[in-house]
Parts: sequence; structure tokens; C-alpha cells
Amino acid sequence: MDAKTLYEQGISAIRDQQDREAGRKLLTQALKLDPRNDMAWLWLSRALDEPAKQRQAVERALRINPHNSKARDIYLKLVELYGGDPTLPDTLARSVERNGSGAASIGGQPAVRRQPTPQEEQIIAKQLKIANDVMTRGDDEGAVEAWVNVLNIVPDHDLAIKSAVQTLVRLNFYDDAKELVNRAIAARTPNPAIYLTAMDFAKRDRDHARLEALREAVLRLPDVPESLVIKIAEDYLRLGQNARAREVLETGVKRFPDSQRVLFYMGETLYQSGFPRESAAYFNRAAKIDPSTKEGKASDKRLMEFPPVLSDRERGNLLLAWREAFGIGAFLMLLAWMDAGLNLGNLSSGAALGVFLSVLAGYLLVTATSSPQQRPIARLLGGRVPEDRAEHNHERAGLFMASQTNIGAMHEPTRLPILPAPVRVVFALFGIALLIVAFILVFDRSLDLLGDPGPTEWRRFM
Amino acid sequence: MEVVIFLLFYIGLNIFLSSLTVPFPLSDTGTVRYNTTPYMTAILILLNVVIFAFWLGGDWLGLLSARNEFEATVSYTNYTRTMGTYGFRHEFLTEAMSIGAFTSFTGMFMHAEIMHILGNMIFLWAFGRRVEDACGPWRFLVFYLLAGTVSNIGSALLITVNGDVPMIGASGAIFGVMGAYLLLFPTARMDCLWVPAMVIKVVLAVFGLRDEDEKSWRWTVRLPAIFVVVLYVGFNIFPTFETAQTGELEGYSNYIAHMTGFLSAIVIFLFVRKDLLTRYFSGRAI
Repeated sequence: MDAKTLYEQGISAIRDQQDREAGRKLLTQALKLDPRNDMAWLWLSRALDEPAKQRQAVERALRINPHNSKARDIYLKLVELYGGDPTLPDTLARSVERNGSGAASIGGQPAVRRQPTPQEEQIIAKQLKIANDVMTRGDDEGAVEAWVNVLNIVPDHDLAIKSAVQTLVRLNFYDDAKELVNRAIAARTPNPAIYLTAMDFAKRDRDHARLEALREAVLRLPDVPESLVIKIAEDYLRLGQNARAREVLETGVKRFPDSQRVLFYMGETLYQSGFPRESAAYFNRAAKIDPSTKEGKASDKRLMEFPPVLSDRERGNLLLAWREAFGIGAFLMLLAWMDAGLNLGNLSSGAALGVFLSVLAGYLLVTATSSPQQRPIARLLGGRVPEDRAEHNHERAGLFMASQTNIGAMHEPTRLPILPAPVRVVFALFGIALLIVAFILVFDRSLDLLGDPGPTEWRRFM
Repeated sequence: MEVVIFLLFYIGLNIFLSSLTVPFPLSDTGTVRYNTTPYMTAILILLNVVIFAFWLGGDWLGLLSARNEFEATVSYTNYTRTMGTYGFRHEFLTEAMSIGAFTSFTGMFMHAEIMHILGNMIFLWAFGRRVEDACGPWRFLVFYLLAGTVSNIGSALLITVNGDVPMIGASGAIFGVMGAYLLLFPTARMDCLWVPAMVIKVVLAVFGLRDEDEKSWRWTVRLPAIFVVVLYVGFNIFPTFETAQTGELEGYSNYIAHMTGFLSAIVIFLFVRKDLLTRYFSGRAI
């Protein structure tokens, strides 16, 4: 049976058959299907016995439709009979307008929460126990009433609001659930989960202004979790508001500079928004945190599309530079070993010196060409930290290309001093000269043989 | 003209026959991340080709196209003399003649005949470009020469019987490059010439079954590099053990040099770029 039929049958039961019990049941069912029917709430108030419950039903009708004159009359009559604040309907109406469509009640710093008094603590504990007891008996509405009593004291009580909202949504009292959430937000709760629920409600209502206000408010919360930042950014991406998503994630990166997820999403958002170069820095940072995670792997995969990024850690590492020098030395050593008849004992002192010089030459060449920022040599020889070239075109990413004509590696803006160009030229020239000397020393006997035109054992094939 | 036609036929037939049995790698398909032009690989190929064309190649061709016994003898004498003098002989090392290192260099750039150089240079092109990108040209050059040197030392140490046979060719160094490629890019794929797979591909295409990744028709097949490298290493392993046991070189291929060259690939970590090394050992994609 649909809500309208139930509503009509409910009215008929109350008005025509004078059966208030049947009318109450029918109207309750109708309101579960359509909780925004203000007249149904009004008729329900007539089927209720307790004045407090009657007043609650009329208040609901007024919240839904503040201009319902019949509801106002009944409300005033109830106030007259049982006492209360006659201005409440207007306040409620304003509250509906405020909570229903705008950001006026959201935002700002979270309020300093009033601690419940010991007496209130006792009431809360008692109400929670009641809620638990009645829930076990299947009395959902009774439990909700108890939780609401708790929320009247602490509007964002974790357990009470979570349980009440879940139950109300399950029972289709969507507006009631929304109201509880809005009350907690109006009290400036710092609980991000409540904002998340409010955002879901706003989405369901297609209330974009409120949704936007909630997103902004949630980002200002001191304990906003990274997952929520990402969720908000994803929402913006889905809506095609990429610039807004980037702003949200930038806030997230500032708040969680070591969060792999936030960094990855920032990179991904930039990538999807057509800023691939800028995205590389975030992918790089994300991948560095832990390459084995889902985000780490995804970041690394994305990075395959870009030139690799050279970091200060690699640039300034003395061992990495000497490693290459030892590679050159190892090569010369093998050559010298060959000419010594594979016997190190036969190695001439000249050849041994050649091997040593080759390592030194290798180091000078490596320093001049690819590692001019090793600590502490660069500082010792008058090195300076270069200006941050990132600002030209990759400010957001904090990366720049080494050179358009050079190898295509990307560099992070460095904080290390770099050797001055003249020093590097001297290193290179000296390195080349040393390498030539090293080769001559290692090949000394071979050069003698090559220069000797006479018959030798080597030339017996000739 | 006849010689040219003969050479083309000879090359075509050889490539067809070799790709009938094993995949013949032509090109690496991966991303060259540093966007470098493989100058050093190209220079090495050019150097090998020039040395062959202007040194051993003339005598080899003269031998093939000799019109009489005299011409054949002259060509043969020149050919063997050049090879024996500048090729790498183990006795240069074992008898401490002090010319081993020099001939190790020269031997590395000498090739016996056209298929020898063609095969080696295709392999160098296929595997070398990406390794060079990972190292940079000069470091790649040192690695290449080091791998060739290690391969020559390996064969000098393990071949003890007929050490007077001159060894020539870049294959030891190229096996080093292949090993480095496998170490650095184990999941890479290669475009290969492989007749059986090509036949299957054509048959499948006739029935409308095509690889969706393939934007346009290719005669080559894309195979995992690990499969190709392991296959070639596999062909070398058993003869290597046999030669190591007997100490005697069998046939025309120096399998020991191939395998020691391949094992020398481990030194690639002395020559790869700093950031690549860091990424490699931190488990990141390179």
C-alpha cells in the first residue's frame, strides 16, 4: 500500500470511524513511507494520547511546513493547555531554513564543548542503558527516544547519535535523523563522521550549497582523517570540479605531508587535470614512502611515464660517486692483471700506480660531470646552493628538468651546494689527463711492444 | 654485383634459418625513461662495422670471391695473420706477454664474417639501448669494455688446452649487456623474429584472431626478455660446463667467454645512474 492510501485510510479511521488506535498505526506507516507529509504529522498528533508526543508531532509538521496555519493553531492550543514557549514554532521554522539550505550554521572553529555535569552524566548513562534494554526487546522507537534524550544533553554523543541516526534511517524517519545530525553540526561538533553523514544527507537532498558548506567545514576540523579529505576530493572530481579537488588535496598535503594516499591522490588529480609534470613530484613522494603498498605501486607505475627524479640524497652521496670511480678502477685493474699474466705478484709498480690514478681520475670526472654536489666537497670548494629554478614552471610540483638538451632526468629543487663551473672544468681536465696517464702506465709494456717494429713472440703470426 | 646478391642471399638465409629455431631479438619495447639517444651503442656498432669493413671484411670477401688459388691464398694469409695478431689469444695472458689487455680490446671489435658481426650488432642494438639509457653513454662504454674483458679473462682461465686459437668478436661483451638488461628490466618484452610464432600469428590473423595490443600488423612477435635471454644462456650453459671440464675449446663458439661475460653483468650496479640504483634497491620500478 502506498503512503497516500495509508494516509487517507488513517484520516478516515480517526475522523469517520473514531478509531484512533487504527488511525495511529496507519499514519505511522504512511509517515515511514513519506516522512515529509506535514498533514500526516498533524493528524497523527490527534491520534496520540500524551501531550508531549502530540506536541512533538505538531512540531514536526511545522518544521516541514512552517506556514501550515492549522499546525500553528494546534501548537498554540497545546501550549495554552499544557504550557510552553509560544514562540517556538518561529524558531523552529528558522532552524529549518538555516539547517536545510545553507552554511550559516556550519563552519568556524569547533566550539569548546561543555562537559556534562555529574548529574547529566548519570542521566546519559541511564538513558543509554534504557536504549540498550528497549532495543533488545525490539522497541526501536523507545530506543530512539532514549538516545535523543542523551543528545539533548550532548548533541554529538558518539554512541547515541550513531545509533539514533542508524535506527531512524532504517525506520525511514529520514528527516528525524537529519535533524539530529544538523543539531550536532549546529553545536559545532568536531566529529568528522557526523559531517560525513550530513554530507550524505545533503547529497541525497541534492542540497549543493549545504554540501559545499559541509565540505569546507570538515576540512577545518582539527582531527579530519585523510580518508575524509580524499573522499571530498573524489566527490569534487566526480562533479568535474578538478580545481576544487586540487585545493582540497593541497590542504590535505599540508595537513598530512607523509600520507602516501593523500600524495598519490594529489598526483592523480593533477595528472587527470592535465598537469602531468606537476603530478610527478607527488607520485615520487608517494612512491618513496613505501613502494610495496597499493598506492606506492600505482605511483611507481605512473612515474614510468616521466623522466626519473634525482633527489638531494642521491646527489649529495659521496659513496655513490666513488662507486663509479671504483668501476673505472676495476676495469683498469683487470687490464693490468691481464698484462701481468693473471698474476698480481707480477704487477709492475707503474701499473699499480696506473690503477690507483684511474680511480682518482674516475672520481674527478664523476664529480665534474654527474655528482658535483657531494657533501662536504662542494661546500669546501666554494659551492653554492642554486636558485630554485622550480618557480619558473613547475612550482606546484617542486621539480624541474635538468635541461632540455641534456639527459631528461627531473630534479627536485636542491638544498645542496653545487661546485662552481670553473672548478668542475678543472676537475674534468685534470681527470682526463690523469686517466690518460693511468692508461699509459697500465699499458706501458703493451705500448713498448706496439712501438717495437722488430719480430716478437706476439707477432709470430705476421 | 654478384657478390652483393650473394651477400644478401647469404644474410637472408642465415637469419631465416636461425629464426626458424630460436627467437631472434630485434628491439626492446620498453620505455627509455631518461629519453637519451643511444649514441654509445650506435658508435660501438659503427666502430665494429667500420673495423670489419676496412680490415677483416676485405680479406674475408676476397677469400669468397677469389678467382684463383693465388688470390685465395693471399686473402687467407692476410685474414689469418690479422686475426692471429690482433685477436685475443689465451697464451698472451698465460705466458705473460703483456699484450693480452691490448688484444682483448682489439679482439672485441673484430668479427670473422658478415653473419658474425650482423648477429652481434643486432643483439647489441636490441639490448644495449636501454642499458645505455640506464647508465649514460660513458659509463655504458666502460661497462661494455669491462664485460668484454671479463669474458676474455674467463675463457683464458678455463680453456687450458688450445689457448693459441685467436678469439674475436663482441659476443662476450654483448652477453654482459644481455645479463645487465635482464638484471635491470626482468619484466621487459622484446620484439623478435621467430618463424614458427610468425606462422601461428598469420594463421590466427586469417581467422580474425589478433593481439589487441597490436595497433598495426607486425611480422615480429613480442616475447618476454627473460625467455629470450634464458634461452640463449641455456644454449651456452652445457657446452660451458663441458669446456670447463675438458679445458678444451670445441667448435667455433667460445661458450665460456659468453657465460663469463654474462656473469659479469653484476658489475652493472657500479655504472647505473645514482637515482636508478637507489630505486632498484628500494624495490621501486626503474
